Amino acid sequence: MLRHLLGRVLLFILGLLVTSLVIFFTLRVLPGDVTQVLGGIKATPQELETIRLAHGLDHSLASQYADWLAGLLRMNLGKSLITSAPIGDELVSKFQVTLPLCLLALVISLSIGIPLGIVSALRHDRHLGAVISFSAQSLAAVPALWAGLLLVVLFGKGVGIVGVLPSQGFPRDGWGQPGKAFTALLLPALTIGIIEGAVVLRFVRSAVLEAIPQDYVRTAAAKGLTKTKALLLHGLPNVSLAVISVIALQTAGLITGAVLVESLFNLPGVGRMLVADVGNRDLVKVQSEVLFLTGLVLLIGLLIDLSHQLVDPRQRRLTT
Amino acid sequence: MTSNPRVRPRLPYWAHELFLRPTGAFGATVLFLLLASALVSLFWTPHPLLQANPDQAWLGPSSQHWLGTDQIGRDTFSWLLAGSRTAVLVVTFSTLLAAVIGTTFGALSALAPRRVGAPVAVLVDIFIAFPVLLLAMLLAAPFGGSIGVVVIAVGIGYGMNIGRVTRPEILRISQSDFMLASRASGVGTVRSILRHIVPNVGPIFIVQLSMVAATSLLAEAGLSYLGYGAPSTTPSWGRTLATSQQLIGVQPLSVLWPGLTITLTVLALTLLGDALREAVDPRLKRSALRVRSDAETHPALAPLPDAPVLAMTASEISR
Repeated sequence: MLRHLLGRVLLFILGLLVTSLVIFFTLRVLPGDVTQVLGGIKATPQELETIRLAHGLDHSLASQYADWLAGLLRMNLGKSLITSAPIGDELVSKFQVTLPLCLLALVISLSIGIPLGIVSALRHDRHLGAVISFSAQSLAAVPALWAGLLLVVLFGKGVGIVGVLPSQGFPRDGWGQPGKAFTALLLPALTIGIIEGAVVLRFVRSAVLEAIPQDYVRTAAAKGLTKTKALLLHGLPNVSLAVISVIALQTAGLITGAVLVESLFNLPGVGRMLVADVGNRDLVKVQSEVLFLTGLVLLIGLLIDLSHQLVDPRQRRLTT
Repeated sequence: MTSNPRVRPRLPYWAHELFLRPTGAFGATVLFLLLASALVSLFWTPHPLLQANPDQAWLGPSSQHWLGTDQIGRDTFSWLLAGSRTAVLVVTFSTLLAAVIGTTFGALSALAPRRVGAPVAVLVDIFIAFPVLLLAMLLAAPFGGSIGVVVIAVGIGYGMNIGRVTRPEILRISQSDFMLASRASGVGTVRSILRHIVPNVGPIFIVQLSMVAATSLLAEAGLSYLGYGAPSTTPSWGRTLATSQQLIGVQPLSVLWPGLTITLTVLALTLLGDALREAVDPRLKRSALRVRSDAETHPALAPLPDAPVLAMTASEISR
C-alpha cells in the first residue's frame, strides 16, 4: 500500500516536472527574442537591455528555468512581463471565479449524467434507452460555444426568449453579493455542465451495461430481487468506482470549457486571463497559468487514484 | 468468394457493411457533402466572400441571402459553404498527424524493449493530462494563432491519446498464443505485425481517428472563436459562430446555422467511425447480417473459408 502510494506521488511530481519543461521550452526555445516582442520593433538597444535585466532574461535559458522552478517552490509564480504585477495574486483572485464555475458545472454534469446514464443502460433494449443514448451522442458533438449562445438566446437577460438570467459579466465586488455572483455563474456553468453531462452519461451507461451480465447481479436476481433492484443494490457500488474516475477525466474538459465559456460570458476568471495574456504575449504569465491549470489536472488525477485505493475494498485487501 | 461469378459483390466487403448501417450511410453522406461543398466553394459561392455591403448588414433569411448577412453585410451561407474548406483541411491534417504520432508512441511503448517502452509509456501517460486547448494556447502565445497551431495541438494531444489507448491492445495481441504460433512457424516480425497486429488494432484505431477528426473541428471552432485559430479573412465555422454572437440581439436565428453545421459534421464523423469499426472488426464480422449462424457459436461447424456456400449466404442475405 505504502509503496504504491509513494510511487503514485513520485509519478505526480515527475508529471509536474515534465509539463513544466514542455511549457517553458515551447514558450522560450521556439520563438525569437522575448524582449524584442515586449519592446516592440522600435525599441532601442538600451531599452531592450533594461527590459532584459528587469526580468532576468539575460540569464541562460537553463538558469531562467531553474529560477522559475525555485520561485514555484516558494509559491512565487513570478511577475508579469508587461505590468510587473505579481502573477500569484491575480491568479488567486481570478480563481475565485473559475473554481466555483467548474464546481457548479461538475455538479450539473453529474446530476444529469448519472441518473440518465443508469436509466439508458437499464432500458438499453427499449426506445427510451436508445433515445437517451443517441441524444448524448449528439450532445457530445455540440461545440460548447454554441450551447452557450443558444442558452443566451433562450434565457439571457435582455436578448433571451425567457430572459431571466444575466448573460454577461460578473458583479464588480465579486462574492460580496453571493446571490448575484451565483446567478452570474448559472448560465456559464449550465453550458459546461450539459456538454460534460453527455460525457458522464456515456461513461456511466457503459459501466452499468458492463455490470448487467455479472454473476453477482444474477445471483441477487436469483435470490428474488427484481432485475432493476439487483442492479441498483449490487451493481451500483461497482459502478460508483467508474463514476469517481470519470471525474478525473472531466477535469480537463471542465478547464477547457471554462477557458471558452469565460470568454463567451465575459467572466473575470483564469481562463479569460490566459486568453488575454496569450494575446499580449506575456510569456511569463502564460507559462505560470498553463502550469497551474495542467498541474490542477495532474493533482486531481492523483487524488482520484488515491481515493480509488480507499473506496475499493478489493484494492485495499490486495495491497495491505 | 469473388471466384463465383454469380454472386460477385460490386463493393468491397467493408464498404458493403458500412452502407448497410444507417449511421454509416448518414456519416458517409455528410462527409461527401462536406467534400463537395469544399470543392464547389473553390469556384463558386452565392455571394463574394470578402466584399462588405454595409447597407445590407444584419439581414435575416431571404431569397437573396438564404441565411442572412453578418454585421458588415457578408452573406452567411457563402461563408458557411467556404468554411468547409477550413474544416476539410483541419480534419485531414490533424487526423494524419495524430495517426502518425499515435502509431509511433503506441508501437514504441508496446513493442520496444522494456528499457525503452516503459519510460515512453510513462511519458505518454503524463502527456495526456495536458488539455489540448491549453496546448494550442501555449503554441499560439509565441507563434500567434493559425490553423497550423490547431492542427499541431490536436495532432499531438490526441495522437498521444491514441498511443495510450492502443498500447494495451498491442501488448495483449503480441503476447497472445496465435502470435507465438506464427513466430514459431517462422513468420517474420514485419509480416506478423501486418497479419496479426494491424487487423486487430485497426478497429480501435479507426474509432480513435474518427474521434480525432470530430474533436479537431470542435477545437478549431473554439480557438477561432477566441481569435487563435483561423485568421479573420479565412472562412471558418468557428469564426462565423463568433460573429453570430454579435448578431444575437438583432437576428437570434443567425446563431443556429454555424453551430448546426459544426454539430452535424462532428456527429457524422463520430457515427462514421463507429460504423466503420463495426464493418472492419474481425470479431464483429457478419453481425450486420443479423443471422446468428451456428458457425459463430460453434466454430467447428463453420464451413471452409472459401466454400461457395458461405459466399452465397453472405451476399444474398445482405442484399
